[in-house]
Amino acid sequence: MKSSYVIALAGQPNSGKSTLFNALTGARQFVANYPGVTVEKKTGYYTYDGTKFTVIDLPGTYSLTAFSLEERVARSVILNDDIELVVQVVDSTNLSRSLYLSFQLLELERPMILVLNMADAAKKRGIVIDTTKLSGELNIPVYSTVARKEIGIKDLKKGIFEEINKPSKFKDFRLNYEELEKSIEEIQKIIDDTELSKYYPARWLAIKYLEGDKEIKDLIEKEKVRIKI
Amino acid sequence: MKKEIFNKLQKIEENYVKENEIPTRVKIAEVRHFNAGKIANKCTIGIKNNKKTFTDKLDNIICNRFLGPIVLFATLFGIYELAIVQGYNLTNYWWPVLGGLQDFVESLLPAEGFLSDPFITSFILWVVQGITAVLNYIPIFLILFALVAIMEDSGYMARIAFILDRIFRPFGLHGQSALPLLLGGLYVGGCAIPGIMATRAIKDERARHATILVVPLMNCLAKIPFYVLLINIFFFQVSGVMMFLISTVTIFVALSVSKILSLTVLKKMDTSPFVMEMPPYHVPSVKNVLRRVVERIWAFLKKVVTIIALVSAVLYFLLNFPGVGKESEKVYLQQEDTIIQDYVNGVGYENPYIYFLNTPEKFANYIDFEQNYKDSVRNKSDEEIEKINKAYLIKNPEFFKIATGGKFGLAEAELEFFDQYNEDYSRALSIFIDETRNLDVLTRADLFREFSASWENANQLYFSIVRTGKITVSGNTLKDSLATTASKPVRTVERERKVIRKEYNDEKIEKSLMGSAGKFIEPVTKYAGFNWKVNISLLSALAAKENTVATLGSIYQSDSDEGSQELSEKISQQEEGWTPLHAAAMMIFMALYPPCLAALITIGTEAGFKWMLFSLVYPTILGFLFAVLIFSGGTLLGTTGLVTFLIFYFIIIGITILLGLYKPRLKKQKI
Repeated sequence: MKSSYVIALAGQPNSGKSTLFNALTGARQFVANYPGVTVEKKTGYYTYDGTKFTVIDLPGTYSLTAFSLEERVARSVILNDDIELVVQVVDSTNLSRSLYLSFQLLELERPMILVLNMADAAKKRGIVIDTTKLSGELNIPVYSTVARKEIGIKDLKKGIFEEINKPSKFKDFRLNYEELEKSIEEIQKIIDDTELSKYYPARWLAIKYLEGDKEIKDLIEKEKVRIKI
Repeated sequence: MKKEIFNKLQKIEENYVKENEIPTRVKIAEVRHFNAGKIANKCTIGIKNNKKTFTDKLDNIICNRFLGPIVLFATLFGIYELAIVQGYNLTNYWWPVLGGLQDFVESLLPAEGFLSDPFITSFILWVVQGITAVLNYIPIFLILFALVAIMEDSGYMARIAFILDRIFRPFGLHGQSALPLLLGGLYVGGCAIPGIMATRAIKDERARHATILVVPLMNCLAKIPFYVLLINIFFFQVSGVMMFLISTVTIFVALSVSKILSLTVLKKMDTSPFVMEMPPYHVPSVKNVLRRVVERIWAFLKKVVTIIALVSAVLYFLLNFPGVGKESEKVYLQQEDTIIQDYVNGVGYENPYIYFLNTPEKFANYIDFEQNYKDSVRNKSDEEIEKINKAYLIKNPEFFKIATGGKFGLAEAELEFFDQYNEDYSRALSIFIDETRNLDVLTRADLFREFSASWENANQLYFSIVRTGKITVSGNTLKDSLATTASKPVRTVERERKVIRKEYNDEKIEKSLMGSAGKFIEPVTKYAGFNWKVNISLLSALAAKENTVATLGSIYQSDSDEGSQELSEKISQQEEGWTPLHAAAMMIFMALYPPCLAALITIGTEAGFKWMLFSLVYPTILGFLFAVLIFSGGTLLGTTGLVTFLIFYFIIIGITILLGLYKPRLKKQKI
């Protein structure tokens, strides 16, 4: 068991990500810019059961394309830094849009937890989410919080601790791209034979290639190993 | 990867598209959307209520076609009013704190000299002033950052962008460019620094850079005194019209420039399709807002203060070196001696006080003393003044008596004792003088020292009062007519000192690297109507635009009389050749002037060094071109300043409209 872990908070803007970040880390945080860009990098930490958790607050994004600087920073941090667990913060009032991002995060094949935040606001609108069912669908743990009132934070910390200490961390979830699956597999096979597959999930590269992601196309073409922000 | 393998990948993609007649990226997005919806539905136990939420209701007003803009302008105006106007009011309370800091630093440094100040004093004070000039903006930032954080947290920021995007988009800007432009001074009086800082909210890189680059074209507060000065001299009859023209022309220039920049230098920069989510409104939490304010202020301080110290140091050397030269220095030193000699002659050698003021160094010390004394008694109660008086009396009794013009009060309780002491001392002194009359000088001096020491021992304060001059008591005021005589011409010396200091300083600036630059570019700038004096003052504005009027003031200082004359009168007297056309050219140049040092550095930290340099160079060229256009164009056409400016104004509006209509063919972006 390690004595310190690094986790990353991902999520859409306005999902209450920053509030959750503050609720987790309290005053122990500092802000810098990612090298060379003006995107703010917030880092904080907390300890749970004698273990130190460093939390990186990723920029808020709706997806993980190469379109905007924020999205590039977010995915590059998850892939290149030693992130041991991704915590996706979800606005409970808007689950389906958040799931759009969840699929992309899951494709990065990192251990992940889903946090349904702002559960109270959802309830007010008559939305109740079945966490067990959702957890079953995505094959990852799901927690529910109201970060603004610091409800559910303890359970979440416990959940993070447990998840990160499980022997086999990565849960296999695969979104089925139907007819496209055949092409994805073909490309994946080709990429599997290259250096690149040592550093990035081959399936993810294949999907990104088919998405027309400029950065990934460059990467595959030139076989550059690190993604630059 | 080998070319053929890459081609193979392309083949796979093409095959799929051929078979399914749908681009792969669209298919991927579709599958994700479909599954997201499916899973969300499956896992949501929704008692779907179709009741309109609070957010929906509020959005009906805020995003309404007619009400929306009204609410928006009210909000923007509110922010401007609170952050810029009230913020500046707050600086009235904040500035004395910084002034105290400056005074504290000053007190640690060697005192000013009569003619010029010790290098270390003037250099450190210059740098400290540069830093405090920026720190002065902190109240504005506090309010601004808090308001911005509240708008972000509440969800209103997203709506602003939504409403304004349609107006700004044709010019390469973004809905969220509105706030930065407003803070920069949309009409009159803003500040580019908070404006540039506020661009952080813009997620579109190209629009963010375009905004950063045009915010300094707005009318920052420091440009205003310069406008006012020139308008009062040359456009007195139409001052309102001219003020309106100069303040609004910048908006059109900014829109045009940002369009041109986005079509050229910023072309390759990332631009994101305008996807805007309207988050539900919620009440921002105080903790979050405060946290963000502190974070941003701290980041600002760390970056700007360190760099500004460095750059203002460089500027100091540019303005002060190589100096006036030995020959001139000698002339100034002679003048300095003459001033002191005149003073001594005027007061007369029989007055003992002149021995405390008979060299430039002593005089400079005296001025320092007087300044400190006057500062410390300002706005103090009588009781406090009494205490301060005593302290200064003991510190330097002669300076104190001169500073008070030979008249000062003493606590009533002490008056009687002092009166007695004074009488006894005078008697003892005349006896001492009688008795020692026939002794030799050295013995006499020794005896006098003993005599003084014994009286000082008896009462230090009283002795300080009586040891020089002749004290008479009238009522509860002590008078020393000799000190009064010595103090009267001090004003004249101070005035003359100011004059030669200014002359010295001006000559130093004129002969400095910056001054040489001003003269060097005169052959070019004359087409814009700028002579070398104007050049220097415009160059000095690089540090801060507040400098322009100050530098013009020092350059146009007349020789003999003191500053009773208004600067505007001096300029119109000394520059008879100047016409409103000259003024119009200067004003447009000032309107488009590159950002001040602090703003430049902010640009450097927000956009990068390359853009910092760019934002220094392009406004200079543009402003100069416009100034030449106005000055040379007006000269050719024979039109007056106002007419020329009006023609120019409408040309700019025309260009803006044309640019707004021009839409480059963009590759269609599919999402």
